[in-house]
Amino acid sequence: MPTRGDRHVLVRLVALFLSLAVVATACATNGDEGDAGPTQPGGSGGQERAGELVEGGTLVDLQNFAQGNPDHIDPGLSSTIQGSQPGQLLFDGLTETDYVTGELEPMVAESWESNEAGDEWTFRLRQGVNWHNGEPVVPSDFKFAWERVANPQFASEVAYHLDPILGSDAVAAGEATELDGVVADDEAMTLTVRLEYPYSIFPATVSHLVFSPVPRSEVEALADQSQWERGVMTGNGPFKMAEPWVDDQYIKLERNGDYWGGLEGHNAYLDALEFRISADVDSAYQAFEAGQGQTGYIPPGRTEEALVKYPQHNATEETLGTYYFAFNMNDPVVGGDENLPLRQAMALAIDKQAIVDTVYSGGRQVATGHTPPALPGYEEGLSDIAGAGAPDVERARGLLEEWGGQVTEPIRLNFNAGAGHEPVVQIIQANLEEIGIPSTLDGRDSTTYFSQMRAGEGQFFRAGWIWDYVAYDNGLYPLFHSESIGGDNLAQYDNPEYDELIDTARSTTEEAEANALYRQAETLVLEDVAVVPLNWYTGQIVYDESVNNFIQSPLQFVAYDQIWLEP
Amino acid sequence: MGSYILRRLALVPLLVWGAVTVLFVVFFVMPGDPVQQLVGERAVPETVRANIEARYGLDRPVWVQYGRYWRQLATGDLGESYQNRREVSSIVADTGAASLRLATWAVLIEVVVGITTGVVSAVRRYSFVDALTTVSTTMLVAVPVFVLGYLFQYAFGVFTFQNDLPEWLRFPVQGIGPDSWTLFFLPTNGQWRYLVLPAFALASVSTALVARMMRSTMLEVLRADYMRTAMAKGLSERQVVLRHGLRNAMIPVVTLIGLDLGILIGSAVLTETVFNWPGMGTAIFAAILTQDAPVVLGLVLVLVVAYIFINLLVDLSYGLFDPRIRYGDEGAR
Repeated sequence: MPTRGDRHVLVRLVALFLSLAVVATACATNGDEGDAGPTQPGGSGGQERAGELVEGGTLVDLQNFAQGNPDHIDPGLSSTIQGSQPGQLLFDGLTETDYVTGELEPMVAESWESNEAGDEWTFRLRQGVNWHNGEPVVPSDFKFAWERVANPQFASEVAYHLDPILGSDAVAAGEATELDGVVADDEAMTLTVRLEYPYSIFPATVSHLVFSPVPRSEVEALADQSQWERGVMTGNGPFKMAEPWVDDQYIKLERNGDYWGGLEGHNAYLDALEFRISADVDSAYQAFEAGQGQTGYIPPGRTEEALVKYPQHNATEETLGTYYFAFNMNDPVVGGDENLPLRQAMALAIDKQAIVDTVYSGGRQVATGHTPPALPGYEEGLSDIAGAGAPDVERARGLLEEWGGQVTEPIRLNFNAGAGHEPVVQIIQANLEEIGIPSTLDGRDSTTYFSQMRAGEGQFFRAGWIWDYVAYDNGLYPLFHSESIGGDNLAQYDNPEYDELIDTARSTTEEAEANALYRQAETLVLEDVAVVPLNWYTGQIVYDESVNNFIQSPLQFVAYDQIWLEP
Repeated sequence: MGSYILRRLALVPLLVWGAVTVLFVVFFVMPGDPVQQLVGERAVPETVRANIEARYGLDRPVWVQYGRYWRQLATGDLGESYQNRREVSSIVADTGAASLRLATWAVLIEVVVGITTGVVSAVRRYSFVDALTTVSTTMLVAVPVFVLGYLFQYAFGVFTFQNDLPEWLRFPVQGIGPDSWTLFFLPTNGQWRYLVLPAFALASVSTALVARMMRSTMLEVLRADYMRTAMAKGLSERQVVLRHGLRNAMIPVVTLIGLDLGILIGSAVLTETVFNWPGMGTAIFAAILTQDAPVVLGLVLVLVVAYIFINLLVDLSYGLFDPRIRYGDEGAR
């Protein structure tokens, strides 16, 4: 998924000027700081305050669409976190990751089991889960939904999530309309899914929004499936759509009074939820400051100021996202086993804390591994080099001597220009210079940057990854498995030992065992220094004192159904 | 006059053809990949790419796509957005209406405030009012629109809210609000509260320019012989200035205002962005960033046609202000 900050070059420039304007106005109003601010509750850092739970009210959200109109909100089409947020509230899938513990929980499926090999999964569906129109949700609604996503005419950009399912390629190629591997038994309320290969994390995979059920009777009649999201989509979640999405303005939801209860066993507390859509982060935040909504998104560069003003925020909670630099392992200068000491030295030279402090005003966490701590199965300290928390210049110099080579051409630091990465790259350049490695900034046009990196044109390059679902595999297979070269394995990392660990983990249905294998695999990548994780993303949301029980999942979705407002 | 208008209108197809062709070439020469834009930073799997390209005919050669676009256009179909699959015609209708409304109000402000200030400061040359006008217009021209917009938001949104000032001083800082209008232009149901800040922000620079131009052309006119004659006839200063002076001084100002209307409709990106006003400027800007060719083409086409008409109207209006200007056959006599 695209990270939040990578769009709108010009807007960024604008933001810069705006911050200057803020400084000017802040100076002018400094005098009445003490008594002003009805938005300042006493005390600090209090996420929860004791108080009577109150139902009702409308929450106006200014954070989710602070960066513009979503491309899609149809669960079968949405490829961004923001666009998927309404869908998370409108649709309940088979499984769901608990937003607090990160554990996989039963949702519409009350239980599931697999065969010995882990390539056939049977989900038993709960009775009493209904569509917003009162019809019951049955297994064939899932089968229909998945076939809809895989259909070539639908041309969904997120259809690839269905790849593990047997027969998905035939549907995608237009050779079949039904998924061979999926059997829905509406009488017995079971859904049986056969997969192309053993895949132990399949139950976690189906927690992704793209696997949501779709009400067949309503959708089938549409001439163009992609127009469903233009009307009122009927779902089965805690909220329903109050009216059709108004482009560039808002998406309005209201409580589903007949909800089956979900993980927490209750209806949504809010009467209504209005997502405001804004064209610009800074002015969305301005609207939050003007009291025109209860939740806001902190614009780039304003974290420090925002945290002082609004004690209620999630800016220190890490999410499942990693910002990293990686080496092109095919590059003659930095790639290959013989250049391992050079990569190690470069990894040890980088001052990750300085990057977090100066570029993200302390709003992110220094990464000491590729997989963030928010993931179940995470363990600390998998590597002391790529995962070093602080630079070690002495050791780096020693490694360079051991390497014995000479960097004749400056090493290219590749990044997508104009997306706010310049200051990061400048710090890295300075760090490398300290150990005597010359480097040059290679900022590229962001529209072609990633395809160039994919083609192996990078040397030491920036990228980021946000997990799709809470599974160790989702950060390792797409990024470093040899099958993913040409895809998201930008480092061109090709290690048979690594591949085997991942393949074994995928067919290991015992979770703890599988996670141990994934950790071994991650350790390999880190020890090979194919990647240098720099920091883990944290939340960027502030909310006012009326908002209670604010919970954001590691996947950056907010549990709006758990929020209650103090009148 | 009729044939003059016809000749001008004959240019429309030529300009439309030019715009479409240039944009087509630009989109294909420009590096980038619209399909990649749909999935962000991630890799696009082959089948996904193939299906999306087939949906939009992106797998065909440029000239085939170019021909297809013209055939579509001939039936009045502007195609579908790659990014969100909306009908381009509905995007054009929505954003066009929003832009036109905002631009019209901005131009009204420009006309009323700009011309009045300009005339007053010309007539009361070197007075305090004149000095104030000169200083304030200079400042307005120098302040970028988005900074001004942001200050408006702060002053009438954040500041008034955080200091508990009365409700009527707190303006919505974002969005088009109820989007409720009568006779297309007149805000109803509290719509005006959403309109005020962006309209003034958008009008700011142009108002200052109009005031300055009005002042200088007015000063020139005031020195003209016919003005002295009019005075000598015994007309009051008010009559002389308004009936003889203003009318003659208007021509360059009308040109400026007319061109401005066109610019404000299509290029109000900054104001629209800051106030989240869903107009054409932001739509074009966003579409260019995501390489959403059908949306850019559709919006630009409509703008080209709109510019031509506005220019025509400006030219025709000269006749009203200066009787010596006649168009077409009559002028040739």
